[in-house]
Amino acid sequence: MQAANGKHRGFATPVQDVPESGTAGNSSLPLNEELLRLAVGGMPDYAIIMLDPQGRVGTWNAGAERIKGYRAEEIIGHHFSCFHTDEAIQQGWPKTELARATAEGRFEDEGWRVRKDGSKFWANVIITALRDDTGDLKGFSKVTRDLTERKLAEDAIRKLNAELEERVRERTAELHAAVDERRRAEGKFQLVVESAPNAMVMIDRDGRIILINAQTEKLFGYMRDELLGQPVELLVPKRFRSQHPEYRTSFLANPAARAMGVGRDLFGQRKDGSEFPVEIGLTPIESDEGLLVLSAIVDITERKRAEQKFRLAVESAPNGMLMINAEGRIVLINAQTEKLFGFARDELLGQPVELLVPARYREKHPEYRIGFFGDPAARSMGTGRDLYGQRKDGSEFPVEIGLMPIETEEGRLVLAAIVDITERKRAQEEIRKFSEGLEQRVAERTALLESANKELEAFSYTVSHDLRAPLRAIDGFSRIVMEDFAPLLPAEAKNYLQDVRANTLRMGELVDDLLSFARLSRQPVNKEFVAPQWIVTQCLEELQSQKNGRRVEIRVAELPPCQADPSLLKQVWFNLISNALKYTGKRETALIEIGCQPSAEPQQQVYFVKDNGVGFNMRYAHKLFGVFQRLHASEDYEGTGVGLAIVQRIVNRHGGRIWAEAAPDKGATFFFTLGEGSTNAR
Amino acid sequence: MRANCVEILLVEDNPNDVKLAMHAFETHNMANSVHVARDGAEALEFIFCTDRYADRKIHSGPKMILLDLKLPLVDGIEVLRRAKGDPRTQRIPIVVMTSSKEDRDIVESYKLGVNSYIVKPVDFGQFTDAVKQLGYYWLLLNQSPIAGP
Repeated sequence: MQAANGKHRGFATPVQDVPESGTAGNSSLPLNEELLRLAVGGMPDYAIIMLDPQGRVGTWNAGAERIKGYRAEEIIGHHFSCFHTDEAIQQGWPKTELARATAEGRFEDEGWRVRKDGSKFWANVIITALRDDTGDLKGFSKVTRDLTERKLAEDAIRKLNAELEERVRERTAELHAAVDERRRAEGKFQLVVESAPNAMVMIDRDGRIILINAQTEKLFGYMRDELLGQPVELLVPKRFRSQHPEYRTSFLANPAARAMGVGRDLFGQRKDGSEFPVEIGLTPIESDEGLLVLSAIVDITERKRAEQKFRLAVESAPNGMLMINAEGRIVLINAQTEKLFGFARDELLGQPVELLVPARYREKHPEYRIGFFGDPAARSMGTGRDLYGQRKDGSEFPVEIGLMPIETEEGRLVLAAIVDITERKRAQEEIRKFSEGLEQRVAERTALLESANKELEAFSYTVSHDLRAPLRAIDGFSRIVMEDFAPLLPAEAKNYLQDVRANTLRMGELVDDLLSFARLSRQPVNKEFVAPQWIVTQCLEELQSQKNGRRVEIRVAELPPCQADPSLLKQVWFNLISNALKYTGKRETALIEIGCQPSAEPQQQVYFVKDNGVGFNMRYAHKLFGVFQRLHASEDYEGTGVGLAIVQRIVNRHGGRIWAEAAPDKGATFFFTLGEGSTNAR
Repeated sequence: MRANCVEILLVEDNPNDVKLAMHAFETHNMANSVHVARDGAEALEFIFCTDRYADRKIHSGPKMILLDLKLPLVDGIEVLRRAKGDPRTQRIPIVVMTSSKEDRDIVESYKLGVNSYIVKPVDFGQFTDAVKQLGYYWLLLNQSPIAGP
């Protein structure tokens, strides 16, 4: 009841008091109480309440109800300390508030307050002491605003500010560190540039030189001070100078580390005006002063010279020379290659090398090529295969190809030397045909010789058997006649029969000698180590009969051993000594010297048999060694005329020589050698 | 008496040589025990008692063969090979008659087991030497009663 009533009246009373407070308004101002009541009651954002001098709630408006959660009937009459936190109450804060408002007339506070449901809100509180005209304390007005949101926003802002400040501090520290780092880096950078093995030049956006190293001074012949601040074009030959800024600009427009002037030949110019070929690498560098460009400059004079030499060598090579890169494209050829394949240089450069390979091998070729690049070593191509090249006109020709890997800055290249072997093949073919023909002819000739030899053998056999048979018969029957019919024959008949027998005997000897001479040409020469001394001694013993009844002086010198067929060599010595004995037959004292002397030819001895016999005229010396040739009448000196022919044939078959020196009636000397290496000449 | 007991087979095609040899044997009264074959085929028939000599007995001789190497039909080397290759006849001494001591066939015939050689014309002196050299004195002794004075 009180509440329902008091709602209006309750309000009316304090509102009435407001003008009297001296703070809120002028007591002299006429206020419409109803308006004030309405105004206070309708202010939803402000809790406006009256407290009695003890702090008990006297009035309650809608704002108070909204903010604090109490309805008027629930709270009126209760002490306002229920709006405080427990901590504030323990500290006696409600009393302090009232005391200070009492003392100062007005007290303002901000702090945590408590709602009916126990939740807290941040409140702005203004407590004003209300006094009557006499100054007696009548109570307090209390205006409360809920500032929780503002408080939270403020807190957030504060926190943000703190964070911001922290970040500012950190960032500042970072910046300091970065500056230090930059300073160190710049120092390092300059050191690196300075110690680089190449000339290095850094320019700014305007193309002015801002940094160079000692190598640059050396390379271009300038002092550092002469270059710093100058346009980089100072280092460019005059003829390129005008174009250079344009290139520079285009680099700056699209800066990326790359080589300068790809495809162009670059030159530097020294202070003295001389030029030299260079290779330049460009690197853009972002800096505080804007985009800079660092260029590394290499003097490639030597390399160019080497390249030039290489090109000259390739060009002047007598073979086709061709260089390909890893993709199999032709990067270099010489004039011979043009000539060989019928292509012009421009038609080949940049083309796949398979262009020169006959179509039937073309598919396989890249495989071989890649294989070689993978395992390169100088070698000939396609060992064991026949290789062919194909000319522009499609014709093929046989080739021989040598491959050599070359490591270059552009990567691995392969140099191929190509020889057209058409002529060689033709020559080989001719040689092959020729030798086939030759072999054929040799075979034919051999067959002819073999058959001739067989015929000769057959002939010899025939001679030995058939020619001899009639002789045997003549001699045999003559002998029978002489023996069985001796008493019936006159002496003259017996003499004639004797002559018949002597002649058949002689013919037998002739046949024998002829046979042994013929046999010499087919009999093999079996050389062995023999002692001529011993052979000569043997011969002299066997020839004893020829010495009988004569005065013969034979001097045999020391004869070194030699390589010869013993039985054939014996025949030589036998015949020569026999001849010497024979042709000294009419000397009172026969003198025969046997010896040897060094030869002009290497490792040979000259053996000789010298006699003091009848000798002969050297005019007929050429007839000496012919078969059946005789220089003396057989009546004077018996013999068949085959002996020296046999001797010469034996000597020749040993690879030696035989010759004679003589004069009529002054004796003769026969010399012979036995071929190279037959003796160890002392 | 000697008809089917031939002591010597002379294989020679040259009539002159046959004559000369026979003259030598006649001189020493040995001609009766010599049978002459004129070619290699006849020699083989005689040695192995076939064809023309089928009625001969193989063990009845000859005691020696004088063989020329150059013969019609079958050459001397072949005759030699066959005779020396058969156990029934390999012990018969064979003396090769040659026209030359240089004859290369001599070497070949020695390889085939020939016992000796003599150079033609065959005279009794040479024949005797060969027989003595071979140690076949019995051959000469066997003949001596006939050869006696």
